[in-house]
Amino acid sequence: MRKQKQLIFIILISTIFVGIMIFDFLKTDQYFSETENKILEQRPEITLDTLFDGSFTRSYETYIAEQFIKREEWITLKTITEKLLQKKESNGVYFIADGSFIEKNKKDDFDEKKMELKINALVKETKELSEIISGKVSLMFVPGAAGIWKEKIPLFSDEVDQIEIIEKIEAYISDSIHMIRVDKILEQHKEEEIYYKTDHHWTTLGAFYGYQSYLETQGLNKVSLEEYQITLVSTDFLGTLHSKVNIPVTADEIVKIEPNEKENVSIEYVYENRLSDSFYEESHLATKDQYSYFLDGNHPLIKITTVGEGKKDSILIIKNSYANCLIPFLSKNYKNIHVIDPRYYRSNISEYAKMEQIEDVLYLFDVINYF
Amino acid sequence: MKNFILFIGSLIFYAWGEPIYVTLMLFSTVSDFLHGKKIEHNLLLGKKRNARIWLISSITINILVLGFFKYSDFLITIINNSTNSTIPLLNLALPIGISFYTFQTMSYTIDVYKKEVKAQNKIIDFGMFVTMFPQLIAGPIVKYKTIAPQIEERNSNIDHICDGMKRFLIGLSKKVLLANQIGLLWEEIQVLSNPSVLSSWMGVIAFGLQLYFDFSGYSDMAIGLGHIFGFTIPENFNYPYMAKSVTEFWRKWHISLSSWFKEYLYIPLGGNKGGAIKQYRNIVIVWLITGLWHGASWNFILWGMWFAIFLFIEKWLGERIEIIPRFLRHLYTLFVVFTSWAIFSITELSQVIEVLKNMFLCNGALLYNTEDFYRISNYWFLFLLLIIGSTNYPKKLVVFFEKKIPSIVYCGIEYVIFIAMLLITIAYIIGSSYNPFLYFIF
Repeated sequence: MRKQKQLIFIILISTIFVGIMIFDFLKTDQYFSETENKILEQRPEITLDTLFDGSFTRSYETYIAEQFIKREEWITLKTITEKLLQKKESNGVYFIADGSFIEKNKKDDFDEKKMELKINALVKETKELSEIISGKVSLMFVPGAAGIWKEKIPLFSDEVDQIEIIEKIEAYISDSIHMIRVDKILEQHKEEEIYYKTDHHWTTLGAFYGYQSYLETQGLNKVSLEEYQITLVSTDFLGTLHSKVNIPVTADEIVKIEPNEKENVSIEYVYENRLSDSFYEESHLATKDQYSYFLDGNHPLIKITTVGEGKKDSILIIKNSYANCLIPFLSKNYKNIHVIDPRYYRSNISEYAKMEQIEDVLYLFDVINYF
Repeated sequence: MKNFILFIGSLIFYAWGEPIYVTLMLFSTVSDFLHGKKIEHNLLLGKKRNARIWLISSITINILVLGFFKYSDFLITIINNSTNSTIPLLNLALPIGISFYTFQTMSYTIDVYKKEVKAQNKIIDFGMFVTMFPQLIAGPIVKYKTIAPQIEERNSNIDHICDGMKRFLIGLSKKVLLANQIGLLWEEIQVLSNPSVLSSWMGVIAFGLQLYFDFSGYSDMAIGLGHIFGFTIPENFNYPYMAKSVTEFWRKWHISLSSWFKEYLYIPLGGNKGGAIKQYRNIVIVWLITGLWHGASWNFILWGMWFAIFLFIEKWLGERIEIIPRFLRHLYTLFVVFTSWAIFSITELSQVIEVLKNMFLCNGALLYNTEDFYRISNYWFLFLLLIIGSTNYPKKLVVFFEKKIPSIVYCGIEYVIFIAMLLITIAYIIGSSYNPFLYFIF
């Protein structure tokens, strides 16, 4: 009896070991992981050099870990264990009581000195632009979910205060530049779904409020949500925060918010040499990265032309992905919208503004990823 | 044949991590194998003096090898600092496990000289002893005489394999699920620029727990693997954090090292014979070297001396220490040991002093801050598990249940727990490389 039980144990454990090894060996390697959004390590080639300097064995270990069979399910098991261990966060993501996620941004990751350098550069850049253009330069720094939904994140957390950062930027920039305090309007609407539950972006609704605060500071005609039509475009969006922890969660919905009277637009993806007549790219809704539905994700330079009367001439938006779901609203106010993503656009932005005779400029970033 | 396969397997295992230094290990093996034979040969001929020369040669070679790789930069720094010279550092990478295997081979030649064992005649068998992969990297330090009979003959039956697997899984989980996880807290606290008093203590406690679960986890894995192959490797830890004196702590912590030093250094120096002064001198020498064994820098020397002080005091107190209530003795031991970890954890002496000042309220740091509460809210459960896990209560509980519930039910529960442990461990190993690259979609 004792022997039999021991034998069962040995067989069980060996089966798990050998089984995983066999399956892992037989499966085909993946090149790209959609959940992680990165190219995975491939089977390293063995040469005398790599063998002797130890780099072969190191890459081989990464290769095994990254190509491990059912990798994402193992991550799920890890996150569940962390939750059982009463952890409040895993892999840079807070677990929220209602089952949703909020991105964690540790205070210590925001170095005062680096931040000041960045702000000084911004001050210089905006001043230069404001001398070139005929209209105004505005800045919109959008706090991430942890900045607005403060009471949702775990008690005592060492989360950075994003509003403080916004106030710091405001204190530095000159008076001729508009600081759009989008955090104030978001604060008023904090009970609504202004951020995704599984992604680090704001929702289209959040962006709509951002648009409202832009209009207000520019003295443009106010709009209300009644003048818009809300269309549900996806009910199964699992964003970047979900990818990091990979545990079951209610999926997010993606909506588009369009004016009741639709406008005709023409969108030119300049570097890609491609034209489109819609702000929205349906094809992305079938992939993991559904947020790319808005303006086809990130591009170095996009030119948008709209028709219709009574609009200002042009705006240049210098932005990151937070802007993608806000830009469509601006078609009501500008004939020409130029969109530059400075992480990919390598030419001189002032030159561009001069050449295109830009009227207004809007900087639109989320606080966290700008720094 | 079994030994040959184990020998080759161990070499491949070592070469996986150290493709170059595997030759150094082979050199040690051949050198001490030959020395062992020479010593025995001379002893048989009655040439005690020659045998002694060969023994000294063997010890010298071992210490030179260890000294060259581990201590030359430390020595150069000392020379540079004291004579204002600028001898360049060698920046040698320390070969994995060198401190362990040189001590193992030294124990062999010494024991041959003391006629406690016969010299090994087969180089393969001796090589297998030196390179035996389960304990090659992190101990226990197995003395040749302990394992000599098993090299000749051992049998591995279902009992051994089953127990070995269990032991291995326990060790693996201790390392991956407990040590590595509390290590994250230590890493986090270590880089704080202005830690509070509470953070410093939390950091040191986290480090001490990490060290115990990491090291004893490795030992468990070694003992378990050894079991699977039919070896009985001696225990290396015996619930050290339950000790009620520093002396007792060192009988329960890294047992194979402290017994090595006792047998091959403390006793040859005269031990406790020859009066109190001599004994104190011997304690200082042993702890100086024990400190240095752990690493080539001043903090380890300080760490060794810290223990020497308390061992002195306890020697002087003798049995009088038992007047103190058990609870207080336990608290005192933990205090001494965990304070020692503060010295042990940082190689830069000036930083050690900073940390100690912080822990003992000497530099006006805040007592606590809100981040500490957050750390506690994240780690309290793990702390609880680790504290319970460093006592023998879980073991007692298991024994209790084994008796109380029907064996088939017990067995079922046990297997489920072991399988869960294995799967969660794999998940954590895989997870440590899981970092979604998300920057590209911002």
